[in-house]
Amino acid sequence: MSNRRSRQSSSAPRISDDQMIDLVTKLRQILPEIGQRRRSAKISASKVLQETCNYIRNLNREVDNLSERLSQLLESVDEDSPEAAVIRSLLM
Amino acid sequence: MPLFELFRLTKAKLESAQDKNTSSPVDEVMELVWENGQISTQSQSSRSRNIPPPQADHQASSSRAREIGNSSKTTMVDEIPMSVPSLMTSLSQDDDLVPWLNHHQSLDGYCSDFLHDVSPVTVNEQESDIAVNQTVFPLSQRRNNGNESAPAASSSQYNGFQSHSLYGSDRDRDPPSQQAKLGRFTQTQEPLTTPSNKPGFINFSHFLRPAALAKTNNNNLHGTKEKSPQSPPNVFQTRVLGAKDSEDKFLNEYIASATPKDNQKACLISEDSGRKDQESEKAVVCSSVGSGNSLDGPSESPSLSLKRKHSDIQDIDCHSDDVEEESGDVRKEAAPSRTGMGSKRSRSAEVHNLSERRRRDRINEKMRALQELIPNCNKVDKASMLDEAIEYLKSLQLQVQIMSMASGYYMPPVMFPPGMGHYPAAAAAAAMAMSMGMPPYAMGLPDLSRQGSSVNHGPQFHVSGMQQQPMAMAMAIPRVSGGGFYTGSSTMDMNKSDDGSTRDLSTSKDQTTMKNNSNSLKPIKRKHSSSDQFRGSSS
Repeated sequence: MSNRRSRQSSSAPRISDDQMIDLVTKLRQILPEIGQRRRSAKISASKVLQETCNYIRNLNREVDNLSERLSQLLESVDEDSPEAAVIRSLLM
Repeated sequence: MPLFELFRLTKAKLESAQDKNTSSPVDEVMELVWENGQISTQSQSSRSRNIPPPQADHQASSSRAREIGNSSKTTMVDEIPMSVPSLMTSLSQDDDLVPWLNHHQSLDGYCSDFLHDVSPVTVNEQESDIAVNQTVFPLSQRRNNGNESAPAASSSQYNGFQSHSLYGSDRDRDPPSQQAKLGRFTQTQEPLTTPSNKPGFINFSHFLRPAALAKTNNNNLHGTKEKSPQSPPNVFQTRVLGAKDSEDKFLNEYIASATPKDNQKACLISEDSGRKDQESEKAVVCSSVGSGNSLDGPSESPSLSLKRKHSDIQDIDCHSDDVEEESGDVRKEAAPSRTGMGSKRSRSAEVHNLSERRRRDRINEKMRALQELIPNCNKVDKASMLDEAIEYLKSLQLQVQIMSMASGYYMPPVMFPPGMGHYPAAAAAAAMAMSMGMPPYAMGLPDLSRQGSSVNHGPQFHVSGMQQQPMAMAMAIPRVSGGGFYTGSSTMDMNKSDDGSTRDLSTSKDQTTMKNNSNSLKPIKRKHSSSDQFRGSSS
């Protein structure tokens, strides 16, 4: 059905259209930009996926930055202090 | 074989050109320009595109030139030697992005030898029959020739040959688009300047990895597709781009946007499979590099705009192929010459199929990119993979919030007045109340945690005071969010230690109790690839 034609998708089982729509909708809701703005606007699945990839990358980058900051903070704190432990746990 | 010769040639040229070329950054892309049978390298920066009059270079390439119309758009068509296909296949395996070409405009002036080696496919949109594909051979002339990114595989091969980028001085190639193409190749996103306006640029439809993005607009280009030389379908899909400026731009923009930053999959030769149809199929669009990795940042907008075009055409609804019709129509225009005698219906049908396939390919490509981003994703099922992606995304958001909050806490050394006994509890409650509003909450929280009694402790004190808050938050957040993403008891351990060290925070005990939550928050640091933890909890 969704695969009209030989879908050369890597994923084996055919995913139903509704399933796909549902998932993409979920992604849209999570995504900060597209999800909240125009709900009714039809966004192609590829675009949603693209946005998701970008968003994930951004988040990863932020995590890295934050980790770096936390590690710097950790250095400024006593090693045995509880806050150090906190920071360490966050950095993990 | 011929390619290697070309490589040697280009190498020599490059070496010579390097000196005279502007000192460009290491990753500058050098382009080999075909001029009257000679290859001249020029850096992209110095390159300015213009369309050289074909006549000028005609004689040189006359031998090579097929009987393609000698209009300004004449392009040389050369079939790709069989070696190329093999190369292509190897390239294709790399999944690297091999950008393509194009550009139609005056392809004259090809160097016959080059043409021989290169499988130039020039598409002449004007030519109805002669599909001359102009492929741009992006020459990723890296000084260091170090391609670390994925395209490296393909680009390295190109470097091997010193992939010469032939840029037909196409119509109005946007500088960025041009650069984008090159960038793709080179894998660096360095900004590329417009190609020099050397006349006689030749765009060779390089066997580029077919871009997954089939530009519907480009289809018109395909209309003229290359028939001749590239006929072997097994070869790479030379991208026929180009006839239309707009389409070209579209494609270029896409490419530009798609320049992989991390470039993973450059192009997928999706077209490869069974792309026997000559029509617009030929236009192999290099899939967005790295599935649009490079889309981040400024390039994103053009890509988005580009995508928007497609989105207009392709609905999110998988089952609605009506939109495909639109794209199909667009392609139909391009295809008129192609399918020629074929009935319009068959043409439209195949165009439709084409667009559908392209759409699918695009989506698949994006799914693959997404799969790569998700750690420890071994799902082959699309649905489950998307589920994991959603979970991972949520967990990432959470993590970022936690960490930003924590860093906000610990950053500013502030003295907190005493008397914050019940504050942590309140903070925890607040945290639970608003899981998403961490950062703002965190900002306000230090005000709450006033404990200045132990002034002598100074920084340590406030930190200890603060730590309760983050812990509360940390504990609260998993609860709020249903805590499934993190495993580990690190926070718990921390709390335990806190109890001993806290001075006046009686609430530490309270927070300890909070730890009973099985889903303690354990921020995942990407570097540590604690994806397994994520995996365990997410399932």
